[in-house]
Amino acid sequence: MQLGSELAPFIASPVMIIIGTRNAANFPAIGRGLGARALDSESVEVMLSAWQWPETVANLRDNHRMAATFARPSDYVTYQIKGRAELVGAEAEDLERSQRYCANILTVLEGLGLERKIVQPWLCKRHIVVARMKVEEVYVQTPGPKAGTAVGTAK
Amino acid sequence: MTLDLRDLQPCFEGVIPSIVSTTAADGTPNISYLSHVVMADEAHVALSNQFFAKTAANVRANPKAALLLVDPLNGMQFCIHVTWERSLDTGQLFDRVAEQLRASSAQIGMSGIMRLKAVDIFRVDAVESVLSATEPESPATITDMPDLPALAEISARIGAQSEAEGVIDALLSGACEGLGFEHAIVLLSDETRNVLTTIASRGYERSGVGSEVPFDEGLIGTAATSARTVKVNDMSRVRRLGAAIEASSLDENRTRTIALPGLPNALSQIAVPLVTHGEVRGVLFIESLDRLAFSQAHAHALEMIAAQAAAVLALSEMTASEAPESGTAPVAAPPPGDTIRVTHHRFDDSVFIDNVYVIKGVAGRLLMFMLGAYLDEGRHEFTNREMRLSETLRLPEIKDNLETRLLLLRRRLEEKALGVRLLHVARGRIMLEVDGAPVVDSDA
Repeated sequence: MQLGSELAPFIASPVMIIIGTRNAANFPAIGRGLGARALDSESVEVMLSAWQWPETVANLRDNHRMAATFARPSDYVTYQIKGRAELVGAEAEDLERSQRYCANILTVLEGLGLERKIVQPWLCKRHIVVARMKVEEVYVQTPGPKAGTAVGTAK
Repeated sequence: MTLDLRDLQPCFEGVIPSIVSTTAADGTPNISYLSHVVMADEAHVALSNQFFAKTAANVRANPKAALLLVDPLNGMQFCIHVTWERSLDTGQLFDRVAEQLRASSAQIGMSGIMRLKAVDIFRVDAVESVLSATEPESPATITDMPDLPALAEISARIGAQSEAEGVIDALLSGACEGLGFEHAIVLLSDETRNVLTTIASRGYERSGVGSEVPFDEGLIGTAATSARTVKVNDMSRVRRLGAAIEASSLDENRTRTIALPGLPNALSQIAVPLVTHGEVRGVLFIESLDRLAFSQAHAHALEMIAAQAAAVLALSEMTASEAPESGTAPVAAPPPGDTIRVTHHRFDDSVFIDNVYVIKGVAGRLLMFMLGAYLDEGRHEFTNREMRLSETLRLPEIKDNLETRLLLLRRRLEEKALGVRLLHVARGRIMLEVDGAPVVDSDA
């Protein structure tokens, strides 16, 4: 499925990223992403700390099922992308992108009145890995009547 | 370390959005932000999920869910593993969640959109703290607990009062000096006009005595109509969405509306109903410049002193109306000084003295009644009993709150200093003092 020209820059901008996975017994888990980008028109990469979110990483290794929600803090514009992900090691370029994301989202959240000390625990840069997800479904999740609407489904 | 839901109290304040993750029957995960997570009891949480039908559908297929909550004081994160048990669309717990949601939605200007249809109740299976590479900067406790001896003393002081004025003052000083808050307002219900009227305040530039809040409007109105405490512990979201109500600079002489006192940069607000015999007699409203100023413990403490004040207020109304007649009314000496022009608009009983707006409604009618008796019979002393029985006053029979309306009128006259005053003589008795010769124009 195609990401669309609006979504690619959106996920790469300073938006909050949360990751949903599940284990073999279908128990869900939550993790936070530290930066993302569209790899091409059909796949995205999300960086996360394997140290802080070991369950998420174990689930992705186990069954590859992943959902990621991207929310812009200033106006709550939100999208959810679902698909299958492979874990790959982070390259220097990925680490740099993740660092940049952390600095940018901190500035955004501070601008909205959140203190640095509150945000810091969410931005754990230990052992960054990359979840490379093949996009299958995209949903609008901005609060309001259109929440949950599918943007499109896989061919 | 085993964590308890109660250790996570600050996380339920709704300051930092919570997250929920579920899976569909085919194993596809779903993840979204949540508008509200409420601690139902020590082993259950309630989620309101107005928009995301997917989460609701998923838990009915697979009841296991994960929640991520954030402590708004230090950013520490907690993962809660839960199992969906049932959905509620009525009952006390549903009402509690609905009221809290309605209050905070009204604050962010989304009251119409955020109507709650149902809440999902989940059993808590495990609470884990999420690893953090940084040490938390502050302990995970909300502002200090109010202590019991202080609370007992406030309660005793309120209980010792025999008149409405004393009760309201004891309530305000209890909330301020006793519990450490700085900005508080007491409003009393006026069922005849469906509004709450400010009777006293602390810590504001203007007292705002006589200002009104419609039932059902904002935090104060919601507390009155629901008979429940409502609080917002992070008003910055409000301002972000541009819904903050500016401190009003209304011209009260033109609009006959007195502006409610307020802190334009308050970060926390709480409205506690004054309930006795199941009736809401008014609201204690407190605000603070601090984020997260009101813990659940503070809410409970305020509810206790508010209930005590409501009971003593009701009792003071009763004893005031039983006070003896004033006997032979003394004749007032011919008033010296200038003419005082009093204008009375019958349609809303608003009263102006020398073109300055004083008050409207029942309090306006009371003032005109006393001025009439003063002019016609030269009387200047009045009892609650005669006013309650007076046919010309058309006092609403549904509520016994004459005493507090007289107090409102007395304070408003005091504040405006227009040459007409009310003085408290004894329980259930007041005196009208006029510094000039009143001329009444009662029709405009």
